[in-house]
Amino acid sequence: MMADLRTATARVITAIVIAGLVGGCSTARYGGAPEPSFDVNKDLERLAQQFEPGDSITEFYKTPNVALRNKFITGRITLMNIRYIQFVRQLTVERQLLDSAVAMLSLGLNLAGASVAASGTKTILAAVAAGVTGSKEVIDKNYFFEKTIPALVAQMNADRKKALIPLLEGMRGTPDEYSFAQAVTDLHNYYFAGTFTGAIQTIQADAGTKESKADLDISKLRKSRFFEDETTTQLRTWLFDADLKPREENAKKLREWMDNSQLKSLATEKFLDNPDLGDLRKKAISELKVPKPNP
Amino acid sequence: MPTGVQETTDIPNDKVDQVIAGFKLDNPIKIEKIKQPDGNWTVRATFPDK
Repeated sequence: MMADLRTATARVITAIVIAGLVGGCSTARYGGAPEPSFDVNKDLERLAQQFEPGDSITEFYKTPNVALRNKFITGRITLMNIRYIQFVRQLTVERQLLDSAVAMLSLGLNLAGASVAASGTKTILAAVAAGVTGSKEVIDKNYFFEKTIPALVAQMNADRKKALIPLLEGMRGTPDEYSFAQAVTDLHNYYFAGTFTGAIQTIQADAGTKESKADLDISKLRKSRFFEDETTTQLRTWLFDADLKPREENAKKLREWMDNSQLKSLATEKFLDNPDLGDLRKKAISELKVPKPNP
Repeated sequence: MPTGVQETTDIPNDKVDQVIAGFKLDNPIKIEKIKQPDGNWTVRATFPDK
């Protein structure tokens, strides 16, 4: 009796897991698109063979000319493009397959656990299901920075386009104007643009530039002529009593609001009396619900 | 936290105290009140660099 139950349980698990894996793979492999009518991997392999570097460098140095240099450049660019496509496809497809396969496996185990009566078997199945789910979470956390993949791929695509320009421009020049060595350097930059390291460096550099720009803007606000409008009056009345004694709680609220509005390094007074900050003062009044002063 | 030197110029006489009170909200290291030739005031507040 016990042996029959184990066999039946094993069959249920196997059937559900196989159905789940097969179903999950076929729907997720192409990321919501129809299955291609050609074998992408085989095509990529053939192109890679066609553009293998071989002895193109040696050929160029035997008789340096534009045609050989450009043949070398285009060959390398094509190879890099092929590898890049494989790289990007692998990132997205593997992630989709992993999610689908693990989810279906986990579902299958849980269903099997619910369908058997023996408590010992239930416990074992539940433990396996928990283990599978747990493994997925561990893999997820380390799996190419979770949800940052689309952003990194978008950055790599943008960087690659930029890095391609000097190569395309250079190919129009003579070997004297655009040397083989320069082409190799530009090719390296093109390759690097298609890496996570390159994408992260660009993102960091952009963030640095934006921060500097923000700092520069603040530096312009640090000194100005005295100015006041109704927003200034409204805020001052809310911040101080008639004897210019600060209302600490309101001052703290405004300071926090400024800190969260990229005005961290600006003095509160400059926020109040700078002629260029009228719109921001209106925003602060609205968001902090600053009352209008009594007439 | 505000940083560096920040100042307001051309402050009329009757507004200078409220400007000083405004700068004091952020606890500057130093506040200077400077009389301009035209009779208005400049108030300069110095905050820690970082």
